[in-house]
Amino acid sequence: MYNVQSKTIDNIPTVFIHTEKFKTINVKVQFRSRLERDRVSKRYLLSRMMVKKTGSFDTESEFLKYLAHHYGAHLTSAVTKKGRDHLVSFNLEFINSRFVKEDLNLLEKMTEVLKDVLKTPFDYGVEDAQFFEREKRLYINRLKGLKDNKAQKSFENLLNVMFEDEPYKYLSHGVLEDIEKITLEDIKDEHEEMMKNDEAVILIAGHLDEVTGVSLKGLIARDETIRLPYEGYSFKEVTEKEQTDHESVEQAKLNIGFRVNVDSTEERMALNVANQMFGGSATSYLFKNIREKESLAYQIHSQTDIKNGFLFVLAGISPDQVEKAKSAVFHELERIKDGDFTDEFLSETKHLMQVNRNEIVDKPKGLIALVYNQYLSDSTDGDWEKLLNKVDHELIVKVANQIHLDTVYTLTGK
Amino acid sequence: MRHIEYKEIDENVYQETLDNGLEVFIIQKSGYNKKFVTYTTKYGSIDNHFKVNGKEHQVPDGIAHFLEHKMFEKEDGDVFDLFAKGGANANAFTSYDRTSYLFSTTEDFYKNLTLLMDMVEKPYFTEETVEREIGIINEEIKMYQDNPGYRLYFDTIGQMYDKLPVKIDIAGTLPSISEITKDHLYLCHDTFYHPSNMVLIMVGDFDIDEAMDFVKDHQDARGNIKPLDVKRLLPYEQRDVVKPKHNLYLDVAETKVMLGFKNEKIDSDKERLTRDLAMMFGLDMVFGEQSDYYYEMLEQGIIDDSFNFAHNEEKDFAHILMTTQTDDPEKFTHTILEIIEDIKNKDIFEEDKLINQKREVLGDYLSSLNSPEYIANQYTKYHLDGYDLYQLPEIIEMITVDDIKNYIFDALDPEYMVECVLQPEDEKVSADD
Repeated sequence: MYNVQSKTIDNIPTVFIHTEKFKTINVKVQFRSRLERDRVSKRYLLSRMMVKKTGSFDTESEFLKYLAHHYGAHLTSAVTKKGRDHLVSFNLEFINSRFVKEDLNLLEKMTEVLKDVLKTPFDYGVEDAQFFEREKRLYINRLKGLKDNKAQKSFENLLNVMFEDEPYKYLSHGVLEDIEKITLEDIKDEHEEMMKNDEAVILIAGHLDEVTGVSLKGLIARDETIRLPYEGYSFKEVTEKEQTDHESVEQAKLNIGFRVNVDSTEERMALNVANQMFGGSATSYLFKNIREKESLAYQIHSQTDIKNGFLFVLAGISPDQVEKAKSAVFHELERIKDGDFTDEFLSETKHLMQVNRNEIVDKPKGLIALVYNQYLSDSTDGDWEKLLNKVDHELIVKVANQIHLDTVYTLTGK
Repeated sequence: MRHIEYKEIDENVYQETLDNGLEVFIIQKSGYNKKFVTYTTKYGSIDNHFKVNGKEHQVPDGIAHFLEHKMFEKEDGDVFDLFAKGGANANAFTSYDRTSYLFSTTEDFYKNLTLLMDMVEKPYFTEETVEREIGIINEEIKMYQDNPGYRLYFDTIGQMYDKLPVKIDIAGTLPSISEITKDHLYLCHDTFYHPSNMVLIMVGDFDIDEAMDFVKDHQDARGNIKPLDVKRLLPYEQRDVVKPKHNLYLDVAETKVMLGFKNEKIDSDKERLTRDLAMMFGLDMVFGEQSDYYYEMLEQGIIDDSFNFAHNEEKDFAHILMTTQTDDPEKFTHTILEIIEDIKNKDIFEEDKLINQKREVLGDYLSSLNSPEYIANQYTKYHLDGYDLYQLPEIIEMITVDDIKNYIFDALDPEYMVECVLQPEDEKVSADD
């Protein structure tokens, strides 16, 4: 119930996703560059500053009042990791003008806002120093606050042990220790770098019309289109590591990281399915056997980064049951490796993945993310389905046997 | 079947109350792949004391949530598996005043709908399965115990409420859930899962007649289920708080503070909704990100962007909660009290601000209607509270500056305020020195 059209406007790839079912128009401007320590913290701070203060408004509250007046238009920024890259996006959601009784060209007005947002850091001057210092302080507080979430903290610790000298250990929102030394000049430089050298894509979804493209003109303009490669990390031989830390927690947090040697889209899809069967759903082996049958945990699941070939198991376990739970996790993985699963379970899992995929496009943000993914991997809906259909018992077993334990990290009681 | 068309927001609702008392709503969302269903009973964690046909019962804390867990388990296995086999995602949740069971799918809709209705309508409990569930729920309780935000919230609520069971954890405690037997579960199911105490809401792209007929046939086949005479026995709660100040020490790095302002409940549905909306607007004018007070506190480092506030208006209770991460909780509380004094003498509740806020809220509301989950959950909530989610724009339009002034000063009365400070454990040691 949607159709996708791509155009290049001012050398920026622009993707129009037309659907009539939403009450809103969503615009996303997506920037992509390599994930590097030097970049992540600056980028996160930059993205937060950009959505708060623009050149056209003297204060943040004036800016917010303007957005409120335009029926609560929502401007947000987001950062994430994908493949070997770090992504920064700016998202604007506003209601479709047909639900408004007055004559208000929201799309045109909101495009102006976005232009302003994208351009403003060029003009940051001495008068913005106070704003900059405050945003830095808020950023530091936010990351400190995150560390009080034990589940979050233990996952971060796992990444630090597992990816000791690899950039993947950096979280998309940056490194606490790096924030203090960032200067306003750094922010301006990082902005210039992003506007000049990042891959930039604009995506817009909603009930669109023929003038939509005209409104988006000039949002970003470049002399030539930049297209960066989209890749994952290559497989690195594992060295098994184990670390346990102690704090006062009621429940031990058990985190296990695996590396998976996958080198084709077929194998990556098989890893996706294998993860669902292993611990990615409510019918998975981990959930059914460790939580339901043995009452060893309230929460246990696995997640995978198929582009990079990583698999993680995250669980909350009674401190005296950690060893038992750990062996149980390995046992369930062995079962997948040994092909100890029915074809019925495999086909149910694939079926549910297809249903979940169909549901994604009912959300504006989900639809945009899916289309962006297709842009990056140069694929279509049909390709995804074909890959899913190809996954069989044999391929699951093959990929499961390419899963290698790397790190066990436990945060448990004192 | 009643059809209501809401032209301004382009929404259509079909409603029917079936012979056995079950209320059914179908909300048409053309073009959606997903169909989303919630089956809700007006029964939640605060319903632990009640009378059935004249006989009084006090049941263990956390039983509504326990029952929710156990409804997924039947004689021939786990219903989660059957949903998954049918290509559906199922879940459930328990709040103070309701328990909802839900699923979504893009295919085999009726098969999954039957599964949901059967699951909720046909209980199966044994001593053995009850025993095993205690272990699972105990781990769930412990998981929340490791969440500092959750601890802060429950300690604050505990400081405010003396008798009302809102102060108990929805999941109960290990001692309370250990008392639960299968007989308790059957009693609660018989009492509160009667069709006349339930609402079924289906959101998606439907053949309306077919969908309504399907539910009707299923419900007719259940035969005549005699309604029980049920009385909820909620204790009287006075407005006075239990303990104005409290310190909580946990293994955290950052200090957090929460303030609670306790209010009287309102019985009239209309007045309750008016106060709820007026408070939302009023608090936003004082403390929201468009207000001067907010930026003053931010610049002075009294709050950071974790600062958050909300008015909570329920049938059985009402209060405001405010929270922030801060280095100086005392200064935070002091500043909030100063602001409360200050607004009494300043004309900060203005018509043009309200108009702007209404536009914002209307936009947020329309955006939310993109989501079948939001619609089903909020439609249920408003319906149980005596209102229609789709009439919200008209009600919002009617809120005035006078409504705000009428409620806000009373709601922010410092006499009914509690303060809970969550601090790192090592500060307790130094305080004890």
